[in-house]
Amino acid sequence: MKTRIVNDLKPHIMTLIYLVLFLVWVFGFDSFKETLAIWFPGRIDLVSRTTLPVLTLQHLQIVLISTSAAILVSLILGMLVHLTQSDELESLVLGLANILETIPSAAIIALSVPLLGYGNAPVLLALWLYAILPISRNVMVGLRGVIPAVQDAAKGVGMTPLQRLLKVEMPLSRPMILAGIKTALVINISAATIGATVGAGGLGVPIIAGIRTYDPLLVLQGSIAVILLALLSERAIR
Amino acid sequence: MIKISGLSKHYGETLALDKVDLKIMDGECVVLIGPSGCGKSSLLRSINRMIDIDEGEIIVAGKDNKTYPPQELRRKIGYCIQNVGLFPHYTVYENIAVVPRMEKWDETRIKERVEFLMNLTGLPLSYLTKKPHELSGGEAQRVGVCRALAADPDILLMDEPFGAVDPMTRIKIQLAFKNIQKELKKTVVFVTHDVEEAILLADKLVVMQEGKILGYDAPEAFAKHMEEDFVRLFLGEDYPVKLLKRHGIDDYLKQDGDSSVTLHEILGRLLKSETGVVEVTDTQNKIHEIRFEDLTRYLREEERR
Amino acid sequence: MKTGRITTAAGSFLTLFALTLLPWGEFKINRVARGIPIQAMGFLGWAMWTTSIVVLLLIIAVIRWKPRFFNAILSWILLFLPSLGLILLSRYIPDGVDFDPKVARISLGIGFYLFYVGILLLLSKTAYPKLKIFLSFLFILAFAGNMDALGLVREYRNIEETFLRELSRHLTLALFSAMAAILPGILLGYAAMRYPKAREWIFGFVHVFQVAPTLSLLALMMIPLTALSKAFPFLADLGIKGIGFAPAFIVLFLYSLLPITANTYAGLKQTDPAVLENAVALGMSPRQTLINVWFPLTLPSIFAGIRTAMTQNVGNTILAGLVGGGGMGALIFLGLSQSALDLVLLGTIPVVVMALILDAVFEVVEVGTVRKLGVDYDQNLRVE
Repeated sequence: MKTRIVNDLKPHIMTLIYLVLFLVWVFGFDSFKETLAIWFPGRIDLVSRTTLPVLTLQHLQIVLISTSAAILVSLILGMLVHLTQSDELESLVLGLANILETIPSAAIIALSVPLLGYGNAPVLLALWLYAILPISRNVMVGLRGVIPAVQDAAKGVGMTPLQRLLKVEMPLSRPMILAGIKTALVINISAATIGATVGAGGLGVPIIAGIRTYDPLLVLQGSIAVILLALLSERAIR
Repeated sequence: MIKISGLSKHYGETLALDKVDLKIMDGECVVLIGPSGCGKSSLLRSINRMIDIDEGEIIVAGKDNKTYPPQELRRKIGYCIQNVGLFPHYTVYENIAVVPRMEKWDETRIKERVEFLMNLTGLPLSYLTKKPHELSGGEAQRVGVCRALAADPDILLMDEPFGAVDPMTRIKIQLAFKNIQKELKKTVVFVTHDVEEAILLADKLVVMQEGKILGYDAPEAFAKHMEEDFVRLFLGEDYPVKLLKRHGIDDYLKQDGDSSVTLHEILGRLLKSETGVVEVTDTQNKIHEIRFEDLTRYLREEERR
Repeated sequence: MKTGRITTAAGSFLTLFALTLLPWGEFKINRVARGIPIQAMGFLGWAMWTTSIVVLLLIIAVIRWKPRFFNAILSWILLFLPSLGLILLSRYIPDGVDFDPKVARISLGIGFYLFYVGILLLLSKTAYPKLKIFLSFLFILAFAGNMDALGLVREYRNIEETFLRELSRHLTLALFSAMAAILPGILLGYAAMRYPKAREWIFGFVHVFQVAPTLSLLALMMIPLTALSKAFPFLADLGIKGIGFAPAFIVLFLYSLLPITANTYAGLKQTDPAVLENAVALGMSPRQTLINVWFPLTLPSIFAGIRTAMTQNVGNTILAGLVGGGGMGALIFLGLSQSALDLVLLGTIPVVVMALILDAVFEVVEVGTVRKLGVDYDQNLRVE
């Protein structure tokens, strides 16, 4: 009985470790920043006007909003491509998304500034664009991968293409789509750090501030938090 | 000569070879047959030390094969397997030339040898610049045979080399191989599970089961071993009929012809005829009559030899 | 052209839409002023504008009804249009505005971008699409001398030397950090194959650098480097300090490890066992099998890994600009801090173009070497 629980937990150990480390860091940072300050001389009093938990929340907000919007668009695009059965549309969408992915996230964020100004908005736009590729690609591949026999059965039962899509093909593609969402989330958590350079909130703020003022404590505060967050979310979403 | 004594090999709990003794004379084509898992491949692979044995010794060219450095041993022995394993990044020429190049032959000698082998196996010289993925299964197989023969080894090891080829091409390759063997007279150890292929190609047949040798003899002489149930089952109750495929009409008439007609075909004709007599014309246009008894008599003579 | 209907339709729509309804740029009396939007009709003038619309409609008609003609001749003409548009745009002079011609500038707007995208879409379904697209870009560069009033051009002229210096720095940093990772990456990939128990550790280690945000790694790398350079001053003289190229190089190096390791591992894993068996049976020593069989057969995969690492790095090197490592990132972040968005553009476009060109070059070289090997190479094998 005990070994079964232990065995079930085993693959999740790393995830738990990351989670614990992350929470400890985020919520406990203020308590141990003095101790850290011994090794990393910095101006403790200046350490982030905004506390880590707040920054983490901001960061998550940016990531989740942009990714959700991307999920919506990708689902619609993917379903549209599938319904029209158009190879050309598919290659067009994938082609454009591929090109978007070649452009580094920092560049897309920087380029969104002329359109939306500084602050959170350009980051939201950039992350939204960036998440569309992995998610839409997976939606399309997932839908394509539905076994023809199953599609036939659905047709035979008398479903319209739309019903088939919603009731059969989409549910069957779920694992693939979820994988795409996971990839997008992890990428976006990383990319959101750069948002601080254009005035957005999030865990990038102390990092940038730390770089600019040569303050290792600030850097540490933000970096450890975001690295743990990235590692945690990568493992947790399985 | 290859002398194998007391060869044993375990794979974990399973006994693959059980104190096997075998003597393979020079210039003979010895075919190992048996069901899957009988140990024939293990036996083959232990000759060039591709697998290590637990007990026993194998003497090749007068010395225990363990005393040779493995690479040297393998270069002296030709090796041809079912999947051919041609190097995909080398041309046909480069594939065949691998061992001669390792042995540091000079290029003119290599070129001659390669062309000779291509002609021998019936491949056009234009194929020399092709890459393996451009060849058909049968062609690749033949290149494999060329490669095995390239450095003129005395011994050739072949493990189901014609297995991956379609039946029609297979017959062609088998006949081609038989002719090559007639000309080169190499010591060949051949593994197959196809009884007909074995009967066609073998100078000596070795039937194996569960790591033991049940019978070792010329195909015609295998009648002695037919007492053993398994041998009879494996070779087939129609074994004598299969044997007829080995013998051409030219051997029967004791003449120097190049007819491809086998006694097997004659048997077929006999079965169809209403008189029980088949007439054949020899090279001097003389007519001979063949009856069922003649075939039986012939086989018995061959057995005695 | 039956295939490509949607793309050409999209392209046609975009070009027309941009020409009629969208602002092509903004007129700014100085670097930081608010811009006055410029419509296509504005900088073209009434007559030219109507002519352009008509010409565009004609072109679209030709595409629809005489696609072969379009493909052969007309499409080559299309690729000049963006440059032409830019030249005309840069000549725009607004009415009733007081400005100093040496300081005022015109920034590009969404109209131009969408027009260009439209043209690219139209070109993409003709013969030699990549060549045409590349040429269209080349022409813009070539005629940049005639586009003086464009903000982009002005920024470039201001910092021409710096620009070129940072451009080469960017490329050097990106490429050399990837090259440094080649040998370790191959060794790690080989180790992962040879020692299956170590595999998880190796990949776990290498993977962390891909998941962790580059910025955070970069920032973290500064800390030990600063300490080191303080402890050993000679390092600082060599240029290895907490800021500058050192932290960027190290982080980019670590980042390049995963694609190379993963691809090497995948390539080694799929070497045909029959080929290996034969190599041994023919009498090759382990060293000879390594050189004559393993290596040539794994080469395509390793190559794919290097390609991924390098193209990735070109993008990531932007962040080096934040830590004093120079490169296009320095321009981008400078522009961001000064709200000089043309400068941001000046920094961003070269990075994107470099990444695309690099990828194309790799494609050409890859096809060339793979053809030499004659191994059936599946594009989808690339592990990213």
